Amino acid sequence: MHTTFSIHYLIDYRYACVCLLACLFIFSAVEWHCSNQKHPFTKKLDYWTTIDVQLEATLDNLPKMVDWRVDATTGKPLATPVKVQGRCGSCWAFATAAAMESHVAIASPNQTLLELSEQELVSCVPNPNHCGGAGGCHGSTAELALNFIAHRGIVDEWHFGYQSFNGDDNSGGGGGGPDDHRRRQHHRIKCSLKLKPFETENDQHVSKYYQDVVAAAHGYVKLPANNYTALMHTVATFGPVIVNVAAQGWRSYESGVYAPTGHSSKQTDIDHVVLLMGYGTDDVTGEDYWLVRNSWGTQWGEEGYIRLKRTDPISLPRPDADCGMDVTPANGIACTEGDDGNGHQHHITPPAVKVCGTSGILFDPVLPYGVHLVK
Amino acid sequence: MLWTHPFFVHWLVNNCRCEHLALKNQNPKLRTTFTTTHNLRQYFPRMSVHLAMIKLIGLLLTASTGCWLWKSNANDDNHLSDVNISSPPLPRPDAEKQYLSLLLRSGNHHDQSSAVASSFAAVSTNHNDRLLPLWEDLLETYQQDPSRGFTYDDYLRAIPDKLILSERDYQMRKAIWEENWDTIQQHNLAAAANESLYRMGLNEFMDLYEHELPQRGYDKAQSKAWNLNPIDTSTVTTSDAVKPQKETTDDNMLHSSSNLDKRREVSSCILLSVFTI
Repeated sequence: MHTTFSIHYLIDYRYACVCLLACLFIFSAVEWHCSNQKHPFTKKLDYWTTIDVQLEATLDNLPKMVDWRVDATTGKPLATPVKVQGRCGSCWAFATAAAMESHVAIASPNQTLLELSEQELVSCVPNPNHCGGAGGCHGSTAELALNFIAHRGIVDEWHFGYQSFNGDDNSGGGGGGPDDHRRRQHHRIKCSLKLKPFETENDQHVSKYYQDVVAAAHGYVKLPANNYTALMHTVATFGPVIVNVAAQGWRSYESGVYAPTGHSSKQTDIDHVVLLMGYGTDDVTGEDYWLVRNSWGTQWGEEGYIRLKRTDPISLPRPDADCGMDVTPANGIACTEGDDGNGHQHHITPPAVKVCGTSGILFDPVLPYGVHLVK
Repeated sequence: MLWTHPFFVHWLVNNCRCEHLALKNQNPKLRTTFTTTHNLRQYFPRMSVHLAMIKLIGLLLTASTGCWLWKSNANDDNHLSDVNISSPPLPRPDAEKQYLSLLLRSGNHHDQSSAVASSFAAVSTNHNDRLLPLWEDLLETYQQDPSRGFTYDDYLRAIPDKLILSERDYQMRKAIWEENWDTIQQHNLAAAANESLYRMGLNEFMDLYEHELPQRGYDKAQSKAWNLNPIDTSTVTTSDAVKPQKETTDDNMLHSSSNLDKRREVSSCILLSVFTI
């Protein structure tokens, strides 16, 4: 009896080994397949559309001043207070969330002003091609964020509050410095949102929203690069526009119309994302400006805003006199990884790009498209 | 996973043999069958194949366990140097603004001390009551003796949470701060003389390294693409250089690295397996 038991035990063990081996083989095959192919459940979608921007129109019919912070007729606010991104490279998420907030307020009948979740964008938006960084607190683009919102929607701040103030790891403390990086423990804030179990019927674009989503967009519009007229028309007609800027000289800005002079006048290394809220002319100096919302807190600049010098290229001796070259576009919006069409990733060294306007504000404007409330 | 290790498999086989050797005394019919290992293999004719399979599985599972642990650690390390650091905003007490307005009313716009003092007004804060007295003390000290100057140590005293990691870190930040402080004073003098359209001021970003400024968070130190591109006018474009933003929506893609990274991981795992063997 004992012997029979022993034999069965060994036979069972043998079959178990065969099963394990088979499982291991299948697992290895799947792993190898996935390493060479796109994710099998990947769905490529891109809601990049165009709108009718009057590129050739004159600027005469536009208002002299536009400020989307407050509705001029009702007096209701159209923008939330300026936030602080902290030690996280999440300017792209803050600019996108702020744009969504304002566009929701503009589009909704009662001018509903929501506080939307930047953390959803930081934690949930994928960036496999390393566009503008490695994703999350390590950089991304507003285009990716808006594309994501078109699919998943965006929840409000109270459902997924900002937790990445101290960086991806949220470890806190530390004054910085190269040595400080080694001390930090990595605990990336994970995307904890759950999908709705059903698809919405009203919006054909949407595959599946997150639960508790309060707003969504149909996609985004990339305005023509370095086109002053297009940007003026868009911000005057449609609302706030997300812009990519070179913010190297902004560190100590306090007030006034920012117009760098001397060697710093050609700041063309695009490395920051902000929200263009309007334009106008300074009462005292008579200087034209762009009104820009930053994400460095209300104590920076003019209550969190900066006014950049606005120059119509027509007034310049040469149309591109206000332009420069960004020779490091990887820290802007360019991607450093790409797909060669056969499912193989390869490295890209993006070429230099021409950027125009003060701090390169005309280079890459992006407008949310079809922003709406979700109930 | 320890039980899958080849050494354990050997131990298991030896124990099995011993067990059967012990059983032979209880069952005479098995006496000749389980006497030696050779006889055990006779009972299981393909025992050597099975043993090889068991060992192979053990090796693979052990290697994959080690690989998983190694990858976890590697992922931790990957993000250690990616963190952008800045300090939280500091308070901007009303007293400073009042002091600034008094100075401006006095008309000493071109005076160096006035420029310095007015720069205090830009010290940004988040209404943290704990910090307010520090700035007020600082202002009082400066008002009593403007020639004393404003130093980096004064600045640090107003930011009690600031962590300086080493003497070298302190010196580097001090140099950055002093350069910015000089720039601010010179710029504000020019602004007071209507030579500039905007004003600059002190804030929490004053002593940050360039990569710590809270912008996009791109880590040029870790990127292969950071090398400056030679400007070739034949290839220069405006927006064509930017890859169209095609994106996936599968949540799993967020936490998975790119295919290229994944291939690197697989290669590393194979290497680790070899070492384990």
